[in-house]
Amino acid sequence: MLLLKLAFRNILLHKLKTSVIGAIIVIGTVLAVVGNSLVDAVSTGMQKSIVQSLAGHIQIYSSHAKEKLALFGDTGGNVTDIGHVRDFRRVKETLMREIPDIQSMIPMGTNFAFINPGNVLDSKLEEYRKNEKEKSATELVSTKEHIRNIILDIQEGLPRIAVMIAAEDDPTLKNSAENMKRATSETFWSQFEAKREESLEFLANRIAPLIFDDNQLFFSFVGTSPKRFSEAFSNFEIVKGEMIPDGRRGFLFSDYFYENTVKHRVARVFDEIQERLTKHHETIAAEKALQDKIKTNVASAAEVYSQIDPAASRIIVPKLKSFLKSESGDLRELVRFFLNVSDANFFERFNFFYAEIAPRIRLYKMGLGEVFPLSAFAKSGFSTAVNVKVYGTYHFKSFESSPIAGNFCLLDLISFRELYGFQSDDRVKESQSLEKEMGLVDFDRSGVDALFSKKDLTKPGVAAKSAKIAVPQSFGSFKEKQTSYQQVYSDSEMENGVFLNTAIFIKDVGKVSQVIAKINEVSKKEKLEIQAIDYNEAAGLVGQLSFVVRAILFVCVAIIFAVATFIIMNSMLMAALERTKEIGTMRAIGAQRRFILLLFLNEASVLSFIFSILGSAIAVLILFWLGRVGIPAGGDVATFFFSGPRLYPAVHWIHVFVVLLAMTFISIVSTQYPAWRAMRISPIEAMRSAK
Amino acid sequence: MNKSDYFIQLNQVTKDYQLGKVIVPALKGVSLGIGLGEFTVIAGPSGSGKTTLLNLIGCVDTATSGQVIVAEKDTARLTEVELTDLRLHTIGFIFQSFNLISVLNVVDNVEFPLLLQKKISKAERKERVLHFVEKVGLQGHLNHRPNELSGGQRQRVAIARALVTQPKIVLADEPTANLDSKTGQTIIDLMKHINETEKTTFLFSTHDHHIIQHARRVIELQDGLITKS
Repeated sequence: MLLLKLAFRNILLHKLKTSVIGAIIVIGTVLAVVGNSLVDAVSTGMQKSIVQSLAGHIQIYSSHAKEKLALFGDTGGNVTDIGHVRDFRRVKETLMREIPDIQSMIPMGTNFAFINPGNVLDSKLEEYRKNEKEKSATELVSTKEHIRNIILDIQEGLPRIAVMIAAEDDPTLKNSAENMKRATSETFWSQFEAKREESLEFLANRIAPLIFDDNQLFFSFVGTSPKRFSEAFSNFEIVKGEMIPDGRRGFLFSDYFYENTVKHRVARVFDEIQERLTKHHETIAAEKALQDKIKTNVASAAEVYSQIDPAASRIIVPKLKSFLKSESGDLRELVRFFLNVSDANFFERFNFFYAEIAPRIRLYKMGLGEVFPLSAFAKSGFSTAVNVKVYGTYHFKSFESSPIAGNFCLLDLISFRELYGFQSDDRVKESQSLEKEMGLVDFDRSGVDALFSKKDLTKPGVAAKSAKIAVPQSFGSFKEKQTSYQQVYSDSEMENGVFLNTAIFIKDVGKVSQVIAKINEVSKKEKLEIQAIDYNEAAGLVGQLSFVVRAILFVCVAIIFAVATFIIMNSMLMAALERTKEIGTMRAIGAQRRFILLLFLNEASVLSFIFSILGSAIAVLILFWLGRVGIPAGGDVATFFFSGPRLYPAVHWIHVFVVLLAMTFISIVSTQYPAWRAMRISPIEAMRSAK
Repeated sequence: MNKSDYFIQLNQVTKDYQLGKVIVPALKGVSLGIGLGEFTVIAGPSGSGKTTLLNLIGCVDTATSGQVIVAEKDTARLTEVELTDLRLHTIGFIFQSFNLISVLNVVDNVEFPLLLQKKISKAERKERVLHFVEKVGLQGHLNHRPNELSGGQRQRVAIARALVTQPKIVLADEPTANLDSKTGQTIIDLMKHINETEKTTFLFSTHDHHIIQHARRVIELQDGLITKS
């Protein structure tokens, strides 16, 4: 009691020291409790996002993989080389039989793809051919007129792109001025029908490349069983169009990618301005970034009016004139004026754009229901392509605006395998019949070596007689495989084939480590040649981010604790020195050294207890408040970490308890040296200081 | 009085202090004995070794050579813990600057040594504290803190604190040096009264001639040597 009484009274007496120590303990406690809860919330959010957007609880892939699986890409954002596993059915049946904890397995493979949907002239030339085939005379005339208008637009912009043309090392761009002269000449157009094929070829090869746009689309995609994927990932949701029918080949865009990349550039700018004005309450007048976007849109006006064909133009021009109260009847001028929006007219023009203009232009570079060649690099390193039909777009609920979760488009596994370099049963049969038709030259490995060895360079074309490796004579056919997108496939075909990785969902989330160990054990026993990792590891760099965030927090807390230790030690040391006479007196009248030690420890413990409790109370209040209102995700990336638009941290009492213990421990540790110094104060100091 | 009758006995005691490389002798072979019930003054000018002598007798310092025997114990042979225990149970201290614990009130200050002794019941502690507070005439200031008391009142608290453990001897190092002459006189009268009524031994240092007149025995020190005993 005496010690506590002395501790309390000393704390009250030395207000400055108490305030300094108290403040640092309160700050440290608040930071540690709130920080830990935030990191936990982010960690849980990320876990949910990773598990529910691609990874499942566990991922398996080849045990012979050259690199580690990184679902969201490596540090450079590239797809890692994880090899492949030959037989999904065998792996699935073995694991499902041996490990009852497994709920579902979704075969997968990720790759990087590109599409070039062609520019406006390409698509109009294509349309011309189509109209010609369908013998639609009126449409043919209209399309021809539209093509001429587009060429005039290109001619108008030619001086602006002269530097870019000069910089390009593209033979198709040579003599662009002369080509343009020819394309705009009356002679060319009067002979257009007569020299139809030549004219169309000329426009496609020499004029269309002069349109510099960002039409090429690059994206990541995951090849999988769309049905199983949509069933296993409960947040999966079709946004536009429809789901790929079961057993059909097909493609789904990620809605995020579709809206942010595939959509018409001018429309994207409109969307962004609308979001910033409504959600972030910005104004065009105050935000230079918005003003710059509007300028860019005005400069991109050609991307709107060049897509409006003459028939549509005749409808839209009067509407624009009336809407803008303009005297001009020139579509180009009207569109430029229309795109130059301000705070006063933005929402009116935004609505007009989507009501009147958007239906008359190509709002998305790739439309739903369209079929296009999807190109990717196969395992051989060659670029291959398959034709796929776009059925729709999808997203994962609660992280709709996350570019990480929305990074992957979806392709059926059969098409994926073809792109990767494996043929389906149908394709194998088809190839075999083709081989018979084409005839093959056969090489064995020594034959190839012999062909390229120095000795045999004098005798090119000498081939070995024994045939082991089949090489088609025509490499062209090998490079660009075209598969019918209408082909159907059976479940058995989907199962009997390769996969790159597989997402596994388990019944009890708490058993991830045990199931991983079991999978690796079964793989060894059954020679499945697979390895298993958890969702966090599978997420690669993204998965490491929660560790990084936690590490940063720990470093901050460690710094605060180190500062707290130093300040407490310093303050207590000062107190010990200031109280030399008092301590000497206590020692003189009979207090043992142990009493002095306990005196200081009690004081430190009482201080840390009071202020840790205060800090914890503040932290709990902050967390309750944050838990109610939520922390808004600052950007699209944050929605992935927060697993939604807001993060709702919760109070974890274990954190409060641990921080209280840690703070008490720190106080006791930091008091050791001052207490030791105080214990060394001799009773003679009581006499000495009296002098 | 036989040597063995002395409660405190010093035999050829020397004490040197090291100041840098220089050794300064404070006591140069002091021998003396003090019996129970004495009211003795150690007199001498500043630097004569009065405080050093009190420190050695009070077991807060050890001699360089010679023997210091307190309550039949050779202090040189005692451990730090034993010396502290000897101080707690046998010796009372009164300091020149009172040395009260600033955060404790009068009652708590007086009770402090009793709490260190641990074995005394709460009731007895209360009784003893009130007895000695009354004895020094501070019954009206029980809850006052040291900063709320005058110099004389603080020294009375110090006297009560020194007496509360009922020590065999009370050592006082220039107890009136920080007091005016009238208050100093009152304090000396109080100590003398206690000496007579409680039979407590008092040994105090001073160089105040008015106070020396009241002592029954005067030990004079000059340059670390006893010149009169």
